[in-house]
Amino acid sequence: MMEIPNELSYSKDHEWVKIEGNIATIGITYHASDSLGDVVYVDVITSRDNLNQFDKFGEIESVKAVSDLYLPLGGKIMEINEDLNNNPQYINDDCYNKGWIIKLEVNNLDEMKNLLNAEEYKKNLE
Amino acid sequence: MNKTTLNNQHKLLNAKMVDFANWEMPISYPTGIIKETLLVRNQAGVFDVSHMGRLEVIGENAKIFIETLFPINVNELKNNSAKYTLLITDKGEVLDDAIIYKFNENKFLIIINASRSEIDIKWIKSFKYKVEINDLTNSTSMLAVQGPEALNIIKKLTGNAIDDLKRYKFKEISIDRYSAFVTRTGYTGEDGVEIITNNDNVESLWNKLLKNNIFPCGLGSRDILRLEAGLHLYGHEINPSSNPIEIRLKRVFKTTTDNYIAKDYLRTIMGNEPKKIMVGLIMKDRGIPREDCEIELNSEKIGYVTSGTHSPTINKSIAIGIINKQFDNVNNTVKIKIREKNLEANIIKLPFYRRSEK
Repeated sequence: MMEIPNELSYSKDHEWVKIEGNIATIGITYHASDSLGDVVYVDVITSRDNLNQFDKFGEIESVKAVSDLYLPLGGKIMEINEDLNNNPQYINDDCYNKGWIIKLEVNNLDEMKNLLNAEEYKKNLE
Repeated sequence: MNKTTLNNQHKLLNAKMVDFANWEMPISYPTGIIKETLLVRNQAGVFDVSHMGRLEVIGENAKIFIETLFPINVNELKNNSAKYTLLITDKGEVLDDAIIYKFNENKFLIIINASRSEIDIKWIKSFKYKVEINDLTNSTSMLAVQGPEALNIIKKLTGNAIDDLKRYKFKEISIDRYSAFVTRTGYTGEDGVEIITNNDNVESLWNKLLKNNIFPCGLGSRDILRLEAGLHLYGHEINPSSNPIEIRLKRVFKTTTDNYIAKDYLRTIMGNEPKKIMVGLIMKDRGIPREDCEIELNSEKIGYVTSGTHSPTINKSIAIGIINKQFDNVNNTVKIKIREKNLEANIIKLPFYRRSEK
């Protein structure tokens, strides 16, 4: 697996974003999943409208630790990856594909300027 | 930080290393904690447990020394046998849990927790019996080989030298011309052995095990395995102020002698009905209970969690907790406060997992 795919954008909180039209697919990065270890639960908040950039949108719990999830962009959560309920290991095994967490209808694509590209994210990890 | 002889081998396998009681130890390998747990439940795994304290006690006074420090009647413990026990001061402070190995009346081995070793040794050495106490922790290494396949593989690798080795017995044998102490004990709920050998031989033994379908497993899976098996961990279920009866360790005191330093304390706790009790908890809701989470019944705090995790074996989140004894009822559904949520859990009779006997 590519650890930091070039085509994605990243937040400093280790979420990745893939933009298609005004829909953003969001997950956590390889670095985040590797630090957490084996993921057991992914929980997304129940009030899913009118969320701001960097709001908490859920929690991810591994065998060893719990970590908050933060929205890399503001908007409305349209879809949740239900497969993660029975296959939380997708986050560890394939975080950029099968391990996606939510799809978000983005309010304002200008907020992308607050995110990092692959190279900047990589530097941020160093 | 202390390093075991195998430190470099763990790093070659890309293990995640953590500080555990001032030892740099592998918490998991790239396999991951969950798969490592399941490998031990279904096949066989090996853990480097060389950080655990190993003290040899030798001398004519060894018997009385052991009987003074531990609730053990040495005459009732056969040669080449091991016993799980507690190290308790005359004031009733629980210093550690330990395993005592009796070679004969004049020679014993005590295995203690790495995190407690300094305190234990200070206490043990404060008794001025004429015995020789040798700390073997740094000169030897210790591997735990556990799982349903473990014994068969070890039997094959040792030229059938341990074919007759029963549970809680040990034997000194040779593996590839070097000597090894092999004991049929463990801390996973699986059958298997623990092997102590000189540091010079351990790398060769380690690699031999890995070549024979025994998978390297880290301390992360070891903690899950012991929790599933309902086994205590010092610093969690056992603390300096623990009442052994409350944490269901009454069995440890079956063979106490008059030499025992904590016999008065023992008489007091045996005569009193315990107020609290250790129980198992299985989550009904999603969420992993962690140490110190409060346990509630009808909005009243009745106890706290001592250890919690997600069990890959039963695929549920589980915990061990200590609650007020009057609520110890397997029909009780309690709430565990996990961060800001009150999540439902059932009280169960420990353990969560018991292997099927062949």
